[in-house]
Amino acid sequence: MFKNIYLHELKYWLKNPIIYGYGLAFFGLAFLLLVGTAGLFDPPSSSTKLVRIVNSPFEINYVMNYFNKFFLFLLPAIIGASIYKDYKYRMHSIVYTFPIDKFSYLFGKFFAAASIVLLLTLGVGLAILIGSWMPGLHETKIGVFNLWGYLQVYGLYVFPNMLIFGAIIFAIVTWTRNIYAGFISVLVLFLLQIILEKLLLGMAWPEALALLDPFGQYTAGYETQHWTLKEQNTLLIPVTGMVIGNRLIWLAIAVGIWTFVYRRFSFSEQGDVLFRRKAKGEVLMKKKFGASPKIQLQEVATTFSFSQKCKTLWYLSLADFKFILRSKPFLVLIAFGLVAVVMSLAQVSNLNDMALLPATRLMLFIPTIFFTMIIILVTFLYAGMLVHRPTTSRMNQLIDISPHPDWVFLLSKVLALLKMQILLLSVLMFAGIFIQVFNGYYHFEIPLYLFHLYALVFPMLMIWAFAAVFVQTLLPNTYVGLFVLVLAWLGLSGMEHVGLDSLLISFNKTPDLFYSDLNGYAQELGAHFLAQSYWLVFALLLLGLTLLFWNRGMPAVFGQRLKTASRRFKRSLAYGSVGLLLVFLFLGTKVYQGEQASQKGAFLDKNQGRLMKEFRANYEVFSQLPQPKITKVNININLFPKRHSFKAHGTYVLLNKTNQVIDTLLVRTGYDEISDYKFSQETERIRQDTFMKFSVLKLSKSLLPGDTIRMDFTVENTKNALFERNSNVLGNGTFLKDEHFPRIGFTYDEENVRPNDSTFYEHHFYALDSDLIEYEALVSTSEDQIAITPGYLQKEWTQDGRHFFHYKMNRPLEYSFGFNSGRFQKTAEKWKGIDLEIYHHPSHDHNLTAMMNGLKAAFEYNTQYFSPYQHSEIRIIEFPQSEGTFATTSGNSIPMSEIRFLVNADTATQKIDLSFYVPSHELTHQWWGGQLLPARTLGAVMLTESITEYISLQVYKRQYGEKQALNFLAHQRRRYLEGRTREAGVEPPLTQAAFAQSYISYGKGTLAFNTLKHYWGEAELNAVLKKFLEDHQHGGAPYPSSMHLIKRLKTAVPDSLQYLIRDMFESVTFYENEISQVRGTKKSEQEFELTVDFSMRKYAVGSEEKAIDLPLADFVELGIYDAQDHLLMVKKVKLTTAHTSVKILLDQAPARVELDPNFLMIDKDREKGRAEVEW
Amino acid sequence: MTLKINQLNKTYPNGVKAIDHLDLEIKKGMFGLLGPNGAGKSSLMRSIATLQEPDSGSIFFEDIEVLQDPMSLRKVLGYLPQDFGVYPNQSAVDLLDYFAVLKGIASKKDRQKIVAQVLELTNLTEVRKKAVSGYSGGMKQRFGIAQLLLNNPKLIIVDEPTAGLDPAERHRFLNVLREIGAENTVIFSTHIVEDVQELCSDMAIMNDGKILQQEKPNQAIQNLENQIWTSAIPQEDLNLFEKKYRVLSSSFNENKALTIRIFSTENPGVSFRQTTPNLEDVYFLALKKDSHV
Repeated sequence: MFKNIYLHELKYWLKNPIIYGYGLAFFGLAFLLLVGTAGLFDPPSSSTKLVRIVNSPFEINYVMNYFNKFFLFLLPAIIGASIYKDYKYRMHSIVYTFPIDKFSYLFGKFFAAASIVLLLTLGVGLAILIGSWMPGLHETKIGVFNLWGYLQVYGLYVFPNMLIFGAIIFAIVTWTRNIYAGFISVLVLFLLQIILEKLLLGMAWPEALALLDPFGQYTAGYETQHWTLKEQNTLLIPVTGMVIGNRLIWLAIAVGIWTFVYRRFSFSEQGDVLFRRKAKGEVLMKKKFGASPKIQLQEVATTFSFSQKCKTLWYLSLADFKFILRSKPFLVLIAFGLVAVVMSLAQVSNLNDMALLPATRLMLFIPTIFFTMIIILVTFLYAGMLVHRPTTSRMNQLIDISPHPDWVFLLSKVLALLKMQILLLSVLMFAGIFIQVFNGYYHFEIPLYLFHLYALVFPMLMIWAFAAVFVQTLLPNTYVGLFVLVLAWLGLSGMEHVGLDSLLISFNKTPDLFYSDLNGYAQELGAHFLAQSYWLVFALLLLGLTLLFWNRGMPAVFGQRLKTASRRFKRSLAYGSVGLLLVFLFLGTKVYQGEQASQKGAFLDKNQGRLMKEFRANYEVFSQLPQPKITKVNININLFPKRHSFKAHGTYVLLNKTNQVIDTLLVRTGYDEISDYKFSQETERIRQDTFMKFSVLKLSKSLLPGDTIRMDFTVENTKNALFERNSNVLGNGTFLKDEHFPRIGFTYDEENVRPNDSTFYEHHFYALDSDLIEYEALVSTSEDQIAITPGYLQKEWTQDGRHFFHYKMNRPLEYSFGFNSGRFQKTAEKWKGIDLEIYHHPSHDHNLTAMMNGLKAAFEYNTQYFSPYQHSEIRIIEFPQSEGTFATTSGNSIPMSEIRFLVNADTATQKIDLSFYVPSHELTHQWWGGQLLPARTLGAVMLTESITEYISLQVYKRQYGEKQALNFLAHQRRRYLEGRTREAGVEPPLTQAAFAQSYISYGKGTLAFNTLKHYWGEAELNAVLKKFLEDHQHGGAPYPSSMHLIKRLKTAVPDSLQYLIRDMFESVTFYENEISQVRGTKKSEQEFELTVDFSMRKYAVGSEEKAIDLPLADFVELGIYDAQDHLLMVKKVKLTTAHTSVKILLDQAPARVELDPNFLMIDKDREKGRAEVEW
Repeated sequence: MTLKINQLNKTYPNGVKAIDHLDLEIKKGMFGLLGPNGAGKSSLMRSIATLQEPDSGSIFFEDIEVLQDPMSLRKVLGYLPQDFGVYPNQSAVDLLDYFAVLKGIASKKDRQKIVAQVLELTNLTEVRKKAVSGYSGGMKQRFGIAQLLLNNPKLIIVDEPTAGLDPAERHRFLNVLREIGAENTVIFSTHIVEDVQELCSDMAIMNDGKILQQEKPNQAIQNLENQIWTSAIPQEDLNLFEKKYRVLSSSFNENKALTIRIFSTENPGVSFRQTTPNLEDVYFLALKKDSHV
């Protein structure tokens, strides 16, 4: 019997054409995604860097995780539908009287439908398989075929997921006899995953998440979290106990639900009700009535005016809206959605290491994006349910004969959907406000909430609502419609992969928007509304089309509907459509023009590699020419915040510091700006590269050593386009960097120079064409703004509605200056005669004290250990988050991102108080990067970032104590280990870290210096640093490299610690520590003996395939904790063998032991170094 | 208040000819449309009720040209489909209010009044707050009548409303229908002859998409006076008799013999005796004639 039902059901599905549609769609999308990622649509790449391989087991798993979300929709659409169709066509009342056993019926149907789903999922794997053999792909992106990669992903994740959740959904549909409950269940599963993620990561409990994640996505992620790119490209995803455990947990849940439903399932006409509300068993109406009462029906007035039709429309939409609100699946979904939103809202302000204030704009961005996806899916679903509702409940004939035109019905459905969307957006808003109140943050920006949700997000949802109603009207039932919509959505998101990214064809897409408290949505808002209107008009056209195809009366075949549609296309509808079409074309032209205007930038992006290569080939010959250095800079710049433009002119004085005669000048100007320049003597341009804006000039009179030449230049930005702003001048909060000004010399990436190459000690890290410069600037901006650049304010005045500021630096500084302008509030303090100033948005006043404290603490530490501060003033200037989340130092200015002004001081102290730490880090750069300028070689960042970060840690410890300092170190360790997983090349040691490798310079650098300090001593280490600083302070060439410091450290550090310099600075070395056993013996009330057995392995990794084991003569610390997790003692041990047993005597009862409690060693898996005491 | 149908045609995409050059004129009062299952009754009803477009032909109600201007007809139309459902878990009052709005009754007060009246008329007042989806078959059909009365329709179409009702419910239902039939044009389709006999002032017999006969029931019966004969025959002889006579109907009697009724203009023979014609004879005779063609 099972076999019959199974085969019958299988045949049913195989005969259904929609199945082939699904399969083709999955295959096609995955195929395009693969060949797109593998570079079919990109110009050939010449990069030799390691890239992600598109068919590695890791990547297959990644792609499958992406498709998993869409596979899940197959579950209700096929597995759920296999049982639902019996209810829908009311077959069950017949079928259930047949002598079928329950087992065969349920299992037969389930396994047949599940077989179909499994087959469909194979389409994606097949697409990867076939796609990776396509010609025209980038070879570096294709790896060897690895069958295990496919088998594993399907065997461990895809198939189990489909069977487990298929069973759950089948059970739910069987039990509720409602397929929509199945769809909602899929959405609830998504939400559940998000809730688990937010909850468990928020509790810093990733192991639990790995174990509980419904789809096993985080399980694989957890097991591969420390994988480097090379490992991602080659290794198989490990099958660990965690993976098996995760699968078993969900299997158990599925079996549980199945068993429950299976037990309760009976072949009955009526469905099962769990909480049967027993109405008083009264028999409805069997009272006799003989002669019927004579009642003359009264005449009632009927009205069919336009306004009355509109009222009817409203009435109908309200009825549909109530239907949505009352449907239980919707309520379940909203309950889960609300929890997920609250969780993610809470998470936004409470990341791993940071604690941010729940500012409205933070509430609005990430959570909104996520929640709108839920709203879109709900819209797809309810569009179908509303459109098909009369037919599903068989009330359609009663409704269809009512004297109202089709548009009343269509629009009432659309309106009900829009009401639902508005309601859900309001829920989001209230959730946001709730989180804000919960965090004690009372600066509600209601207008911002309203504008963002209802003016920016809602129109996008509206467009989806129109599209969804259109698709659902054309298709015969909700779940086919839903699936088509989801696939279309998926297809749209994949369009960029195949190189189709024009807004003209990207349905419902608008340019990305950023919001800043300083600068609002900036001028991108105009582009946003243009693109949105364009698609809104398109959606209205769709709505018109929907009206033509609106179902009224008996169901008709498509041909007939087409005939009806063409007959309906007349009068007002026709005029309206033509009008809309004209508007659509007009807006499209505007979008097209806007995109054309920014085409230049897009062209350059794609061809940058090639053009750069050509340039190198032609101009590299000039790279060794001696060049003069800039010694004096005088800038006169006008900022126009409203027009997002600037215009500057300036003067350089160039000095020939070499001992050679210079007759050729190399000049590069800003890529995107319009620049012009001339020298104080005649020059002849002998070569020019217009792409790189690079010129080779012949001087009419040679520049002898010690001679100077003056350069005058003007720079202004190119005209702004609709979709492209060509300057960094903002309405408020401008931070314009020095990159727009002309530079001298061949300044292209010789950053990869080894630190022991002394030919590069001539130039410091920050500039090739200058040592230190004299700097003076006149800056003007709009009347209501303050403009700031490094130096001391000489004069300030207003003239002709412009605000002028004259700044002059009283001592030379490196060529690094920016221009800030905004409507700032100034907060000032003094520290030992030094002015501390913060220029900030008036309402960003939460973190000012912490910032001041950070500055002061850094002053204290650096002046105590190293040298006096070189300026008499330091000022922090805020810039919008849209410009970045960083902070930087130039002269006596610290431009700092807005996000650092939103630190939640209350919870930050348990994490890392960035509002304290960032200013203290930046100020410390005045010494390490300011007073000490490293040479232009690899490893320069060790002298700037690593030392600065090490000092910041010590400053942080002084302020917040030992425990918080450990947090800080744990964060740096994570930064290092996570950063190296994205390394495309071979990871260098700290002494050779490049500028971009911040995971080394910051993450590992802090650990390295701190470990050295820990075993050696703070005073000892700082004394070496101080001497190093003094010897190179403010000096010109030659500049020091990382090797110079290493040499000094090696001389000073005792022999027993030399290994630290080798391991942490000069190589990439890891430990693998493991406690095998901790035995405790109680000798008396105050005497406890611990025996700790542990092993240790140290190995170095390099460019070779294999790690090299290193001999041990290393210190290790054991932290011993009591039952309350108080640290009882730290035992320092020196190890020479891999396995060690240590005996420790204590006067209190210990509970657990942790290896390396102070984060002194780099061990990828610290879990193994923790153990409970066994008694 | 006359409904005129001229040369109506409807063929479904699967080739079934549901309405075949049909002409019909229906005047005020109860009109019974009698025909077997699949005769095309529902197709005809749906065409009149603007739910389905015929391929050709015309339908006029008064001066409304239904196919060109369905909206005008809908304003005076009351329709009870053969098979209908309602939104689940909604009470009769709520649903009737919903339909009243659909039928253009703007004032809330008016709606409340008329809803109360139709509930009273269909004797559903007591259960008005119960969900209609939980009603019994008869109650649901009465609810169907209640909803069609809301706009005081001039043309009422009820499609096989008594199918599946128990005798008591059927009786009640017909009572309600009779009450409203007097003042309007009511088209009432059924395959149950008694319904027509009890209720209708005029009737037509339909099969294969055509009207076979249109006559007042009494007149039709009268026309058969002296032409209906009955006899009891052994069961195995039925074939023989069917070949020889126009057998209209046959039923077993208590002696397990068949009582047959035949149509004959002259005395068919000794075994037959003349009997009073009834509407069923009219109906079967019409169908017989049709199948002989």
